[in-house]
Amino acid sequence: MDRALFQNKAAQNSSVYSGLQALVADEFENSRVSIRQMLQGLGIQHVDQTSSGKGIIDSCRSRHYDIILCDFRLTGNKNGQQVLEELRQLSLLKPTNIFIIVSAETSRDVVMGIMESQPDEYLSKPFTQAVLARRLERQFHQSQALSKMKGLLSKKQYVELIPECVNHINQEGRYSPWCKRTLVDAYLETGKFSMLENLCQTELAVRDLDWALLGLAKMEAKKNNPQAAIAMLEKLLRLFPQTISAYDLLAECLEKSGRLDEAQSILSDAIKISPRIHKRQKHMANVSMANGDPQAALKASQQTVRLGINSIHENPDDYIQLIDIVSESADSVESSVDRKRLLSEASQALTVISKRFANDDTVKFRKSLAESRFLASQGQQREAEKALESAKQIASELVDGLPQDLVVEYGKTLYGAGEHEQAEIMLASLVDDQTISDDLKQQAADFLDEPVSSSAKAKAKELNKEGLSCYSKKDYVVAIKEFKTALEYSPRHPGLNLNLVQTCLKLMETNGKESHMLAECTEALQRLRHVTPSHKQYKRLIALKEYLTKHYKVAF
Amino acid sequence: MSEKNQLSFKKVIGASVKDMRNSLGQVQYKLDNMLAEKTDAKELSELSDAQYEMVRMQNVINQLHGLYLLESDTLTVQMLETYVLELVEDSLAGLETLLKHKQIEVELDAEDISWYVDPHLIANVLQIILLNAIRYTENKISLVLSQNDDGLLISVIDNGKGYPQSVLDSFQSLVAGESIANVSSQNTSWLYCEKVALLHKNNELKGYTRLSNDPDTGGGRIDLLIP
Repeated sequence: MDRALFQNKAAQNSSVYSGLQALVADEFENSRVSIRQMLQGLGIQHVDQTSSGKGIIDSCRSRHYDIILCDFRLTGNKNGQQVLEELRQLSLLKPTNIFIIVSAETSRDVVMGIMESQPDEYLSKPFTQAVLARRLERQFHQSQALSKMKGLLSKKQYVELIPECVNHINQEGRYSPWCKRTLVDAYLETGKFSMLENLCQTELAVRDLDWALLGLAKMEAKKNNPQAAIAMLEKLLRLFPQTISAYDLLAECLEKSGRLDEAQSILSDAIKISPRIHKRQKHMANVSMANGDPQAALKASQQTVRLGINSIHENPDDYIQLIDIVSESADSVESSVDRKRLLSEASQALTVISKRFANDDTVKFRKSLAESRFLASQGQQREAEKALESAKQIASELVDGLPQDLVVEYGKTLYGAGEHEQAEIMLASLVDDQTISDDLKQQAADFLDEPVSSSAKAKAKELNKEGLSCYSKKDYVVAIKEFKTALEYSPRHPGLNLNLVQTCLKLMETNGKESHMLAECTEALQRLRHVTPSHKQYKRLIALKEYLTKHYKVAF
Repeated sequence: MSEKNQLSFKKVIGASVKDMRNSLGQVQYKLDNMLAEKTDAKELSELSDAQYEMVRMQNVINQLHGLYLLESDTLTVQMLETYVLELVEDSLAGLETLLKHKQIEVELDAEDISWYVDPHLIANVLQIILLNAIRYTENKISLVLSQNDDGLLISVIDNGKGYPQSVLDSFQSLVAGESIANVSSQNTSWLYCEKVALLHKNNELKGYTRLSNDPDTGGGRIDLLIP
C-alpha cells in the first residue's frame, strides 16, 4: 500500500500551513467548529469563523486570508456565490488566495450557480480531514505553479500570458489543461485566431472536448460569422448538453441573425439548467420582450431583480425594466388577485429605486419617467402627467443636462403621457443625429415605427406574415384584409403600410383603378411621415409614391 | 401527481438530502475523532463498524439522489480534465480510517494521467465501487488505472470469494436495461455506476461498467471504462 497516501498530512505540512490565515463561513455552528478544528489539525493556527456573507466581507476587509472555506448557505441575505462575486469585485481576493465553496447542496440550479461563479474548488459535504488536507495541498501546488499566470490573467495582460502558458504546455506541466483553456481566451482577446484554431483543432483531433468547440465558436462569433458559430455551438450542445456558456453564446448569435424565437427558446433551455445567473435572466427578459412575449419577459425580469438584490449585480435598470414589463403585461393577467399582486410589485419596485439609489439624480429622473409610464398604462393619465412633470423638473436641474442615452426613454414617456408631437420631434432629432450611437438611433427609429406594446407588435408581425403568404399566393384581397388588421395593432409600421400599398397596386393592375384602393394607399403613406431618408424603408416608400403619381396621378 | 406537487417534492428531496449530508458530516467527524483517541481494540472495532455503516448510508443517499436526478433529467454533468489518480486517492483518503481498522491492504497500480470526466460523479462511483470491494474482500483490494485503445480503464479487484453466478447474471440484465426481479441496494448502486459511465462519451464511444470474478484472486472485480 502507498503509505504516504494515508499518512496524516498534518505532520508533514504543519510548517507550510502554520503561518497561513484561514476563514471558515457556515450557517451552522457545529459545521464551522468541525471545519475549523480540521484546519487547525492541519497546522493552520489562525482560523477565524463567521456565519454571514457580510461577516466574510467585513473579515476580508480587515485581514488578509490565504484560505476561505465558505458554505453556499449563510445567515443573512447573501449566499456563498454572491460573496465570492463581491470579494472579486472589491479586489479583496488575490489570485493566489484559495476560495473553496463547501456545500451539501445537490440541486442542479445551486450546483451550476456555484460552478459558474468559478471558485477554486467546490467541495461537497460531508468530507473528512484527510480529504480536506489533500484538496488544500493540491490547491497550494496549483496556486504556486500558476501564480504568475493567474496574476497576468487577472490584469488582462494576455500578450505576456500567452508565452507563459505555451511554455508550461511545452514542458508538459501538470496544469497544461488549465493553460490550454486559458490560451483559448488569450488568443481570442488578442485576435490570434489562427493560433486559436490550431490549438482547438489539435485537441479535437484527439477527442471531443467542450472547451475546444466553444473556443472555435467564440472565434467565429468574434469574426462576425454568426452562422458558423451557430453550427459549431449546435454540435457542441449535441455532444455536451450541459455546456452552459454555449447556450448564452448561441442565443446571442441567433439574436444577431434575427432568429429571436430560437434565441428565446435556447435561453429557456439554459435557464432550465442554470437559472441563478443574473446576466442570463436579464438576457431572457430582453429577448422575450423583443419577441412580444411579455409573460416570459415578466418571469425573467422578476428573477433578474431577485438575483440582483444583495449582490454586485443590483442596478436601477432591472427595476425599471420590471416596471415597464408589468405596465405592459398586467392587462393580460386574467385573475384579478394576480393582477393586483403584479401592480403592487411594480409600485414596490418604484419605492425600492427611490430608496436604494437616493443619491443619484439620473436614477431619480428615470424613476419618475418609469412611474409616469406605469401610471399611463393603468389609465391614470393625470397622475402620469404629474410624474412626468416631476421628471422634467429633475431634468432641468441636472448639472450636465440630460444624458443622451436617456432621450429615448424620455421620448417614450412623453408619448405615453399623450405628448405625441413633442415626443416625435425629440426622437426624430435623434434619428438624424450623427453624434449618437447606432444602437440608440435604432431604438429611437424603432419606437417611432411602432410606439405600441410588445404584444401588439407581436400580433402585427404575425398578421403581416399571413398577409405576405396570401400575397405570394396572389390572393390580394385577403392579403389586404390581413395587412389592415395588422395596422390596427401597429399603425405606424413602415413595412406593413408599404405592404398594404403594394398589394393595393397589384390588385388594381388586374381590376383597374379603384378610388377606395387609392384612398387606402394615400392614408397608408400619410401614416409614414416619420420615415426619413436614413430609414431602411425610405427607398421603397419613394418608389411606391412615384409609381402612384405616374400611374394614378396621385399628388403628394 | 400534479406538476405543482412534483415540483415541491423535488424541493423536499433536495432539502432532505442536504440535511442528511450535513448530519452525516457531523457523525463522520465525531467518529473520526473518537477513532483517533481510542486505543482499546474492541472499542475501535465497534467504532469502525459504526463508521462503515455510516459511509454505506452516505453512499446510499448519494446513489438514491443521483438516480432521482438522472430520472428527472436534472443531474449536473460538467466535464473537466482531471487527474483520475487524484480522485482515486481522495476516495481512499476518505476511507482511510475504515481501511485501517478493517486491516485491508490497498494495492494501487496507476498511471497518473489526466482524463476528461465529471470529477464529482466519478468520485461518487469510485466510492461505491471501493465500498463494495471493502464489503466482499478478504484483506486486500487492488486498484488498477490504465489507458487502452477505448479509453481509461479503472479496475477494482478484491480477494474475497467472488460473486455467485446469480449476481453476475443479475448485473448483466441490469446493464442490458432489463427489469430486475430483486431490487437491492447493490443493484441500484451498480445501476448508478453504469448510468454515470454512460454519460461519458467520446468519438461515438460510451463508457460502461463490467462485473466479473477475477481469475487470479478468485474475488470480485469491477471495471469502469471511460472513453
